[in-house]
Amino acid sequence: MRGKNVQLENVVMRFGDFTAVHQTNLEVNAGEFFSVLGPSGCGKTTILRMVSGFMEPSEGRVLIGGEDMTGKGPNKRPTALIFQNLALFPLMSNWENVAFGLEARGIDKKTRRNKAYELLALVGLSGQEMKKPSELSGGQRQRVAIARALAVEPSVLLLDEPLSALDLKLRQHMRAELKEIQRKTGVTFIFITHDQGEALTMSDRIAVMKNGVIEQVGRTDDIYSKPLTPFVATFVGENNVLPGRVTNADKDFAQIETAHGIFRGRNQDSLKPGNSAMLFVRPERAAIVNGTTPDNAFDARFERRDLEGAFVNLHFRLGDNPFIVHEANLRLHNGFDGPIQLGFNADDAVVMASGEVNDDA
Amino acid sequence: MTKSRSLSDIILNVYIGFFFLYLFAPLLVMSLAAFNAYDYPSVTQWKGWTLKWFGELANDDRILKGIANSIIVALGVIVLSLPLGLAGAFVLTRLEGRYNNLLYALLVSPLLMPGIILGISTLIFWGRFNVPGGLLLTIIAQSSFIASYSMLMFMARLQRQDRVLEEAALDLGASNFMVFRRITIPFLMPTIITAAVIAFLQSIENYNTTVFAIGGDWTLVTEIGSRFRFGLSPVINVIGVIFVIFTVIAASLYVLQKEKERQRKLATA
Amino acid sequence: MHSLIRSYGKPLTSLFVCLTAFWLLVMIALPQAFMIEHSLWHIDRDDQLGMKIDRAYSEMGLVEYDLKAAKTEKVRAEFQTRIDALKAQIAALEAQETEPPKIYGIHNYTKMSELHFTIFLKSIVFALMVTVLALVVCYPMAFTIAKLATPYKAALMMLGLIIPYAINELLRVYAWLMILDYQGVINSALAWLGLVSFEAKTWVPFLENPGSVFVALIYAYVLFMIFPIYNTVETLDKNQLEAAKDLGASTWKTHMRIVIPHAKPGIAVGCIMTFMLSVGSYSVPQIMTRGKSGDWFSQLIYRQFFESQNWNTGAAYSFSLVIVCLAFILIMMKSFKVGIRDIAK
Repeated sequence: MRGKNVQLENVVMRFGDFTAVHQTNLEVNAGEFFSVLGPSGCGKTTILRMVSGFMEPSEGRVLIGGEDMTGKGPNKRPTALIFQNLALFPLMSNWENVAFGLEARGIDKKTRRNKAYELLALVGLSGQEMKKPSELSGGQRQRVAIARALAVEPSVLLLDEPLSALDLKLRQHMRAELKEIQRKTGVTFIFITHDQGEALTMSDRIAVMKNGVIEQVGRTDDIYSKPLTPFVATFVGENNVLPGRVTNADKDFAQIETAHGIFRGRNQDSLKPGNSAMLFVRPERAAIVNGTTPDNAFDARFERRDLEGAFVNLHFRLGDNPFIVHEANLRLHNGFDGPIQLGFNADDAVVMASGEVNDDA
Repeated sequence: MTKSRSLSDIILNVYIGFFFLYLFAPLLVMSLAAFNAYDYPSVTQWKGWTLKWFGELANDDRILKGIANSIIVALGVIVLSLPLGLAGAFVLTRLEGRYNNLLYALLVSPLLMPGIILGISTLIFWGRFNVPGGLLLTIIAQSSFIASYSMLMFMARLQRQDRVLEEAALDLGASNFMVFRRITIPFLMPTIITAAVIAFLQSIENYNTTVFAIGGDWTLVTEIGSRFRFGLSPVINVIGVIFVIFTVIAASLYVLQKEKERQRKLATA
Repeated sequence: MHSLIRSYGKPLTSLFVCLTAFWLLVMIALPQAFMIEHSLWHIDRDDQLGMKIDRAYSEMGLVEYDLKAAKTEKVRAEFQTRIDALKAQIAALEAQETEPPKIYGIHNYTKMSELHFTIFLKSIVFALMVTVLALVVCYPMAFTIAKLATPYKAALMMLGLIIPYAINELLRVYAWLMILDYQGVINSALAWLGLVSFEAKTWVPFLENPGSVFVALIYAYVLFMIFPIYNTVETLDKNQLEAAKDLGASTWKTHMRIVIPHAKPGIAVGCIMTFMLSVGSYSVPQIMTRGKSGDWFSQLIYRQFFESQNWNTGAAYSFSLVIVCLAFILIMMKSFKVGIRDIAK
């Protein structure tokens, strides 16, 4: 295993009066596929630039493989960066691009040529060595960039939203390919993205960031099913939100009074009665009541139905509060007359202290 | 409506015709006089065709020395003004803050100042350090404004530079010097060549600045200039003809090159 | 600046900074400063100096004679002090003779003779006229190349504009001399038509008219007017022209309201370049006038340096020229509302 761990110790980054990254401690394990997920401007790119060495943190330090990186420029760190626009050198051929890092290390031309051809073969680009990057397709360029980064045998590979320029099909294909390359090489991958789907499919662990603060770090499954903050709950995957006030609480469950009724959910933050709170329930955990009545049941007005293929999104409203239900596409939903009874179990919902939710969606 | 349009079109075409006549007739007159056997440059007193003025030019040592000097100065100007222009362009494109505009104004000021002023100020300044007028001073004086031209060209190019490429190179372990040599210089190469050609032509062509800085020496152009005061002969016209021939050849090559490129583009498309 | 260090490191960055500083200081700012300083002093050569020294010597001789003849100690001492005073005076005068004092002041500017001042003003006025004429002549050309001609034709016209410029300025102007000379092309044509006669010397003396300098100056600097205007007009959206026409605007109105406002920076630059080149042109008036229609200010400056050997006056005249150009640039920038960034492109 070639990968090294990356540690951020009390790292702060300020630009004048603006604090891009508030005090942060983070450890990325050696050899894992780690994603930093957040909306644009959340500070994730700043973290990446501090790890790669293009920026020095205002406070704290970055360690790679236990070694303090303070004062080391990007050309002195065991990292390689894949840029958002790939940054292939347009005047060099593909093999020269791949061999550039070796050239920088003073390796003779023949050796670096062989190595470059080898790597291009690894990413499936044999026969394209003498072409210029501009003569390749988007996906091929992507692979040249990967080969170029791998050529310097980095311990940590940093990826700055490299898939965002690709179309959907290719993007999905490249996700699998990246994951595969990571597994084969054992290099630590730190992947920066604003696309939660990308983060969920590829990563071992994810850090969710907002406004320069890491809101939650955890395994992919935990991030999705046990979000710790309203922001994570709404940024990663879809969630229905019902804001209100806690009326009743014990150590497992809390009861919340909203404008549209009283609901029960898990009491994750040990809330007390009177606390302002929000209840979250995933669309796939809610359903149209059919037979047994769940812990929470309420009437909603049907608004529209979006067909996704294997399942459908049913859009409802409780007053002005939207509520979405995912149902497997097993029968035709031709619309409903009058109010519909919806419901979910208390175990599938979580009540949290009120906070900022992601409303870009 | 259409009628008046076509009338204005005719007027415009006639105007353009006159304009190009204005541009080219003098060149024709000058060229023609180079082949006139009359001792004084003229096309109106025609004494028959001759090539003797060409022969006389070949034996005119002052002119030949002037050409050699012009080339020395022009090469010196390239060597001096390109690095200055490039350095200025780097500093200006990467300098943030309010001094940027002031520095910019100062560095382009030689372009907005009459050429004679540049020659005079250089002459006075170096005179204080007992550097007399001559080829060296001419190189310095010319470079002060030719560097501004180079700088503007380099700035235009650098504005289109993708700085991420430099970061990528650094990230792959390249030293700062290697980034400059392998990434920046190749990117700037077309501009370096153009700037060198322009600097060469500007230098060869220059009179107003040179005449003050040249001292007892002379370039082709100051030699021509001094002949206007001390007797003219059709040898001057011969030089003009040679200029015209060179220009036409260069222009034709340029057009051919463009045409070839166009054909190639058509072929690949 | 940080980004420069990050990309190229400290050694290369400091090289760039040093080169820029060298250019700025040693090749632009200091020469200007020295020129201005040079214009602010003159050597005070006193024509009477020799006579004054002679007079002092002869007076001293007389006093020395008196000293020898003096009887009392008191009178002797009196003469001795007078001799000492005279000696000091002579030493001071002689020092002044071998090293005349520099006197600072605006003397070089104020002593400009009426004739020279007239030439100064005339050069400015003529350069302004050349600028206006060049603008009028060049605007239609620039507009035609930028918007009316087909791309192929435009490229051809562009080449046609550039070709004469590859030929040396002096030779280009000289070609006009051949056309406008007494026995030049035009006069010959007039003679052939029987309008003038060489024998009777009734030729038209074009060269004695400043108009001939105008023609040659416009000819010499036409490109500096056309190119900036072309560059700005070129960026004008053709749809705007069509929209204006569609709304019924006349050609005149379209130009006044749409094209010219858009081309303002280009017009400003063209005017600045043409004015500056014309007012400071040494070659064109030198060749065209051959001294016959009076001097241009630039010729006056040349003579201060190389004929009268009076660099101080020359520097003062030069700086006056700089002030004029600077004023013109500032006026153009103000009235056309363009910044320095638009100007030098």
